[in-house]
Amino acid sequence: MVQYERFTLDNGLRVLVQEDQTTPLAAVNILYDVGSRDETPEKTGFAHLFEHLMFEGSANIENFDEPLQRAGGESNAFTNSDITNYYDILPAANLETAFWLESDRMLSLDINEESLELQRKVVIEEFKENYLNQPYGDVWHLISDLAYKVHPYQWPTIGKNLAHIEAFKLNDVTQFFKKFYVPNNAILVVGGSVTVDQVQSLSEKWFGGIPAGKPINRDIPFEPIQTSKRELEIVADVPGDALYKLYHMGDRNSTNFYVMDLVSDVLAQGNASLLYRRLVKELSLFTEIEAYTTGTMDAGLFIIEAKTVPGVDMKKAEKALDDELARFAETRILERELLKVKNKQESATVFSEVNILHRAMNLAYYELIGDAGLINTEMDKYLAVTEADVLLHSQQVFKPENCSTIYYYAYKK
Amino acid sequence: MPIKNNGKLDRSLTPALARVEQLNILQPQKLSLPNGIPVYVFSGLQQDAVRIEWIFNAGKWYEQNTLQSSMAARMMKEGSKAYPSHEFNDLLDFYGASVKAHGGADTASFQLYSLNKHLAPVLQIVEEVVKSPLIDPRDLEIVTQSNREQLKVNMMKPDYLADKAFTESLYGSKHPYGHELELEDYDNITRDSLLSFHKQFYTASNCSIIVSGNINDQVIKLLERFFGGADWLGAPATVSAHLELDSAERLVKYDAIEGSYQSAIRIGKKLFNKTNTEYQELSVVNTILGGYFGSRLMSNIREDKGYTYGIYSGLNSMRHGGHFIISTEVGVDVRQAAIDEIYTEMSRLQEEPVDSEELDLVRNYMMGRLLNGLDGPFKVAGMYKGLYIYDLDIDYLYSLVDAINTITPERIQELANKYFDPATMHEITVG
Repeated sequence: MVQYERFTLDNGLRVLVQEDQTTPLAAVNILYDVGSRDETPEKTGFAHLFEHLMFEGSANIENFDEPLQRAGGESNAFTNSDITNYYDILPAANLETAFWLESDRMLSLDINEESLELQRKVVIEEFKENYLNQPYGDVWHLISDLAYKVHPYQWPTIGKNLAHIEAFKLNDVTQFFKKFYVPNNAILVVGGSVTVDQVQSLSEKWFGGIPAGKPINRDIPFEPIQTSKRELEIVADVPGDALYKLYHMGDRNSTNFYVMDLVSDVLAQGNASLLYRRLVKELSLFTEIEAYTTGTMDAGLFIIEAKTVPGVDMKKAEKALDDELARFAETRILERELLKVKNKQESATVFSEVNILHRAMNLAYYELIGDAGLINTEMDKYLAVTEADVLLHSQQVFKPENCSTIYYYAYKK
Repeated sequence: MPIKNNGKLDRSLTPALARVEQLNILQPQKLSLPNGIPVYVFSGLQQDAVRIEWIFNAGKWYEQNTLQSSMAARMMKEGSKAYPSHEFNDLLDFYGASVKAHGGADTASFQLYSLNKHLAPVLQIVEEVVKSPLIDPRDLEIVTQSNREQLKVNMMKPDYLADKAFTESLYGSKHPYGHELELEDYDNITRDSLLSFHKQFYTASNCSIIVSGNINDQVIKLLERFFGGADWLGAPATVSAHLELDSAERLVKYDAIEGSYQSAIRIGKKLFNKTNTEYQELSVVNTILGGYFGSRLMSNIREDKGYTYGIYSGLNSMRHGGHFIISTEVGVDVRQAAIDEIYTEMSRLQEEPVDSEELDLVRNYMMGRLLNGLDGPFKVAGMYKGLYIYDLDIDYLYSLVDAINTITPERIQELANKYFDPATMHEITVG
C-alpha cells in the first residue's frame, strides 16, 4: 500500500506527497500534460525539443543541472506522445534546491536564439543516432504513419523528419511555453524523506506565486475506426525480414486496455507464451516474437512484431500467426493461464514500488489519467478480468480489417 | 501553516546547501551454507520481495571456446530435466517470479526475483536448473538462431563495431577481455561443450550467493535446503593465464562506412582495475572529465558545440585488468572536430588545476550519487557484487568517500598527466 497526500495550490498546481523515511533521498517529479499529440502536422517533434530547452536556464538560473549537481542531485526527463516528465533526485536535506530550480523554469524559462540552435543540433544528432543510423530505426515512423490517419499519433515523438526540427523559431518556443508550461497543466510529486507540511510550505513558497495559465482546450481529433486492412512493404538494408502487425485498441483508461495488456502477456511474454511455443519453437517460423500495447491516453495500438527465420517466406509465417490469433479469439482461455498473468502483474507491481522515483512517477501519471489512487487499486482492474472478457476483447481487436501490417524485407544483395 | 507568497520571494538567492559528509552503509550479514557457499545478506526491504543472485567463477576468463560462458548462462533459462523449458518458464510465470542469467568477463550470474510468499516452490524449481540444466538441443538451436540474428543487427551499428575494434586493440582478439563476438563463433557451440563447462564451473565450491530484499530466517533455511548440500560440491575454478596483447603503443584507426549519418568514436587505453591504489582518486578525475552530465566533455561537445547527443568517459574494471574509455557518436561531418575537442579537454586537465568551485561540485555530485547508489538493500547488494569479486569489502566505499573529499587540484593534475595523456590514447572511429 503506497500512502500519499494530495493538495492543490490556488494557481491549479496539483501536489502529491509520498513520505518514505527509510531513504535519505528525495525525489521531485513534475509531469506536464503535453506531448507530441499536442503538436500540429506541420510542426512535429517540438514537445521533445522543448524538453531539451528546459535545461537551458531560466531567469535566475544560468544552467539547470549545475546547481542540482552541486546539491548532490541528478535530473533527467522524457517526452512521449502524451506527456513530458521531469525528475530530480537528490539528498533530502537539499530538497529546497529542487523546488527553486523547478519553479524558476516554470515561471520564467529563458531561451534565446543561441540555446535554441544548440539544442536543435543535439536533437538532430539524437534523431540520427536512434532513428536513422541503425537497422529498422525508422520503424516507429512507419508504424505511426500507417496505423493513424487523423490522430496526431501519426508521427513519433522525435518528429516526422529532420526538416521539421530544422524549421522551429524562437516564437514557437514562447508560445508553447505560455500555453502548456503553466501550473494548472502540471502535477508535482515529491517523494522520500520529506513531510507533508514541509512540501506544502515549499510548494506555496516557490510555486504559489506563479500565475495560472489559460485553461487548455484540447481539440485532438478521434482516429476513425479502421474498416479495411492496410499493408506496407519496405525493402531496406537490414540483416533479416521483420513483420509488424498493428491493431487498434482502447485508451489507457478503458477496460479494453487492461484485458489486452494481459493478452499481450499470454500471447508473447516469455518462453512459456502461446506464440513463442507455437511459432518459434514448434513451427520454426520466427526467431523471436513480441506483443505489447502502446498504452496511450487516446486509443492506442496492440503491436505484434516478429523476425522470420532466414529463408522462411514472410507471408507463410504471417498466415500461421493469423491462424493462431484467430484460434485464440475463438477459444476460451484456461483459467490457470489468466491467473498466471495476473500473478506476474502483481509481482511486477511490487518490484516497481521499491524505488522512490518510480513511485513518484507512477503517482504523477495516475493523477493525470484521473486517479492517483490507481497506484493501489489498479491491480484490482487486472484481477477483475475474466475469461469471457479475454474472448470478447480479443474478438474485437484481432479482426483482419482492424489490422495494419508492415512487411519489412531485407534488401537482397 | 503554509507560507503565503506575497510576491517578495527573492529567486536569485540559492537555497542553502547541506553537504553529505558521511554515508551510513548497510553492512552484509555474512553466513555460509553447510557446504561452504558464502552467503551475503542485505535485508530490510519493506516490500515482500527478494532477489537471490548466484555468482560463479564462470565468466569468459574460464572459457575454452568463445561463447561457452554466456551461452551456458543463457541456457539456464531453458529449464532442467524435471522442468524442461516450457514447464520451467510456465511455473516461474505462475508464481510471478523471473530470472536473469548473464555470463560476464570474470563471473557468471543467475538472478532470481520473487515475492517471498512464493519463494519455497520457486526455489524448488530453480534448484535443478542451477545445478544441472537440461540444455535441450532444440532449445539451444532456437537461442543460437535468435542471438545470431541479433548479432547481425549489431554488426550494422557503428557503436558496436567501434566497441569491438577498441577492446580488440587493447587486449587482442584472442583474449577473453578483447574478443567481441563474430557470427562464426556460433558455429562452434555444442550441447556437450556447454554441459561440460557447466559441470566444471557451476559448483558449490565455485559459488557465492548474494541475497537482498525482505529477508527472514525462512529464506536462509530454504537456501540451505536447496543449495547447502554436498551433492554439487565440485572443485574451485583454477585461474588460467591468457596471453595479453601489448597495446602500449598508440593506435589510430578510422573505418568509414558509406552513407553513415554518424561516426562512433572510442578513445582510451589499458589501465588497471579498482584494486589499484590510485583507482579511487582517478575515478574523481574521470568524473570531472566525462563521468556525469555536467562533465567537461559533455559541456564542451554536446552543450557548447552540439556535435553529439551524448559523450561519456569511464573506468572499466575487470578482475585481471581494466581500461579507460571515452565513447560518443557524432555527426560524420564533425568527426575530426569532436576528436580534437576530446584531446583539448584531456590536455586542459593536464595543464590547468581544477578550480575549487568545480571540484566542490564534483565532490557533492559524487557523494549524492553514492547516497543514491546505496539506497535500499537491492542497490547495496548490487554495489557489493562489484566489490567482493575483487576481495574488497564495504570499507572500500568509505575510503572512496575519503578520496572524493580530500583529493587536491594538484593531485588531479598529477593523475591526469600520469594517465590521461592524449599521446598515449588509442583512437578508434567507425562510421
